[in-house]
Amino acid sequence: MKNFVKNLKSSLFGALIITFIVFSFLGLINLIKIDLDFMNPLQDAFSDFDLTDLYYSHFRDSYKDASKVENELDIVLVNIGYLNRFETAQLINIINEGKPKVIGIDVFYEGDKEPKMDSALEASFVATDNLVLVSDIIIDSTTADTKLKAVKMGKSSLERFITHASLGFANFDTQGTQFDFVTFRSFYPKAKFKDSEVHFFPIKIVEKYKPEFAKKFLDRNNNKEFINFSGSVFFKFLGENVTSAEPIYPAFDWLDIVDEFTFEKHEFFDPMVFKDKIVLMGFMGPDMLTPDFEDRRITPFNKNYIGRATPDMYGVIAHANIISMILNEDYINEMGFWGNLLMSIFFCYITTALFSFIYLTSDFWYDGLVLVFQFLVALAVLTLVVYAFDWYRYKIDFTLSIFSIILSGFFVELYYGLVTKIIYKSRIKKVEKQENYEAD
Amino acid sequence: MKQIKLYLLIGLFLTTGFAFGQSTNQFMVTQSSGSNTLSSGTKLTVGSIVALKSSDKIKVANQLIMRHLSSGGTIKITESGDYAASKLISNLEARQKSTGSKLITYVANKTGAGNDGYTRHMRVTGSVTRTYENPDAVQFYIGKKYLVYDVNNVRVMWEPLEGADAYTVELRNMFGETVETETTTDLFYTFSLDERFDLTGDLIAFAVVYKSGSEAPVDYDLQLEISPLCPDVIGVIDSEYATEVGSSAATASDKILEANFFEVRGLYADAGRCYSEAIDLADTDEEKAAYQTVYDNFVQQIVPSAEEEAGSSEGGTDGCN
Repeated sequence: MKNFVKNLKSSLFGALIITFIVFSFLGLINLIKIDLDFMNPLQDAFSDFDLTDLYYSHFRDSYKDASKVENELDIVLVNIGYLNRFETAQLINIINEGKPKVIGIDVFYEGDKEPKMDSALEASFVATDNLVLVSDIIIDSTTADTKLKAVKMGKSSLERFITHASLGFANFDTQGTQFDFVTFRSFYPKAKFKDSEVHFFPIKIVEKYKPEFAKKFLDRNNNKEFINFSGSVFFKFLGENVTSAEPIYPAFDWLDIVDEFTFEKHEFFDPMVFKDKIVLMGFMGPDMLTPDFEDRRITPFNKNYIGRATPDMYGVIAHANIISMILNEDYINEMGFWGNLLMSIFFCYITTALFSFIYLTSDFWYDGLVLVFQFLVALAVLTLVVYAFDWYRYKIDFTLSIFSIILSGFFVELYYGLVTKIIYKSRIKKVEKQENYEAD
Repeated sequence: MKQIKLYLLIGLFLTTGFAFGQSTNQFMVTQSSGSNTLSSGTKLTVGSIVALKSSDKIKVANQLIMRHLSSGGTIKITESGDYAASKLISNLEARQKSTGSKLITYVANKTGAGNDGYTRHMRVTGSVTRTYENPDAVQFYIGKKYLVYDVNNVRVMWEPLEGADAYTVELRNMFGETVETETTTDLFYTFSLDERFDLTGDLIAFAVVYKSGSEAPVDYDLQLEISPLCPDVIGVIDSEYATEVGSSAATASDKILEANFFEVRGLYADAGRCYSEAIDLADTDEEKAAYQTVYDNFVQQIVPSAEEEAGSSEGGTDGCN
């Protein structure tokens, strides 16, 4: 019993020193900024990984309150395929017969086409009560990096089109170009253009639909927001290995609305299905039965959450998910830097104390027990991440905690196998010196 | 008075019991492809709200996605067929698992020796498929696309299949729904391209013919596509037909004349039908043999060029574009 208390005390004290060493080491690495990425292919694979992706790909489902379901069913997606401007105008005119509340078009109409086509599209825009078009922004590197990003305008649709619409930028928070298979996970809700504030495309749509919800969301005043994905649209060609998203949004292919030869309204199509809805028009393949990779992105719903993955969601569906999130007030909150640091220190200290105790009491079993413990910690972290996200939509970044726990095993051995022995030896030498001195 | 109250109470109890027994679940159709209907005949179109009773049956032509309005769960039907609502609803309920149980299943599957990961391997080939030969499906005469003038008298003709005593003819609409199924010992089948096929304003039919008793082929390559001539062409043919052929061809020789009329105009499906009808109308065996030779010559000369034309016009369906 005496030994147990003694070992416990030593472990708790040693854990303090080791935790300090671990975080000093991590801080030093961060300070020196040694780039060892080229040596580590795993780094690339994991760089785009987030533990909450596991939640979406394995634990999330489409079951929720009826009021939230209703909000999601108020968003109707329409695939425009490769329709030209004249044909798109026909489609918009038919949709307008149903009197939707807002139409958002996730397409850039750049450059002049045949006057007949441009005029037809412009006329259909004029006839639309609440139209939102997309714009493209570029971060202005000449200005200081402030919380509200200063931006310049990139591409946009022709002036004759945008004069009849509100504009919202469609840029997601990703690294890569339009042609890369990037992951959609977060976005910037607003940016600063000259002296005014510009808003993200889905927010602009909600501003037209239910402005109080858009205001509430913007009032959170977060620099960056994470997308709380709800679901998708069903595509047969995606296959069972690609996505776990439930098909929750009503969706039409252009072929369901217009006759493919005459471009007149289909005999059996009733535009009243769009009454008072948000209609989101965008590209979801040449038709919804034909696979295409244009504007298809990777999302956390992807079953392949590490390394190379097949894109699983069209951009326009990601916009629909953001609209649902805002209307359902189902936002994601993230633990801040200091909270994360404190939590990591706490986890590291507890782990190190336990490792130290195992080292001091059963050093023969040390390696095996540490492995078992690390597995249990991984399980605990996964459970914590899943439940924190499921119950509170709270996103915790465990990267620092995991790194510190991995390092703590190594530093416990280093501390007790080397540092304490050096201290012990120097003490013995000191005692011997004292004894020799007294003998002399 | 007490008796009346008792009756009212019993009535209320029975009504409530019946209502619960026939409990309804409200769904919204979020995606629909083809003509999908309830057993009551109600069409299931996107946006429509359906109160699904456990006794209902759903007929799905192609695919149907519905969302449960109170729980948000989805019913996903991706293959054509008849589905019992009770089963779909119970499957939906069974999928409603807690996060905890999903977590346990996930960890157990990832760590357990019994996970079936290996069965997911080796399902992809590094190759493409370009041909498909089904020994039970017939080869059609005159190409894989029929452009017909006489929609009330469409004759599908095919080559004999080795070992087949009878053939099953399946006629489908543009969404792949089967409209008519017949078994015949002949090498042709005649039908009307009528409103049964006219689902969205596009009159178009598909036919598959296969050895009776075998399974219906699903490959699109084995389907015969049948569509009518566009109205303005029909107008021209009508007047020429009245001048050159007359009212109606009643004898075998009339049919040969009619066949020639269609053949020179490139209307091979109608020409083939007339040649075939001429054989049926022949009075004697000699006559029958003679007409058969004419028909064989037509098939030998026409089939390759008709197939070539059908291939080059892929994508066009009604002959008007």
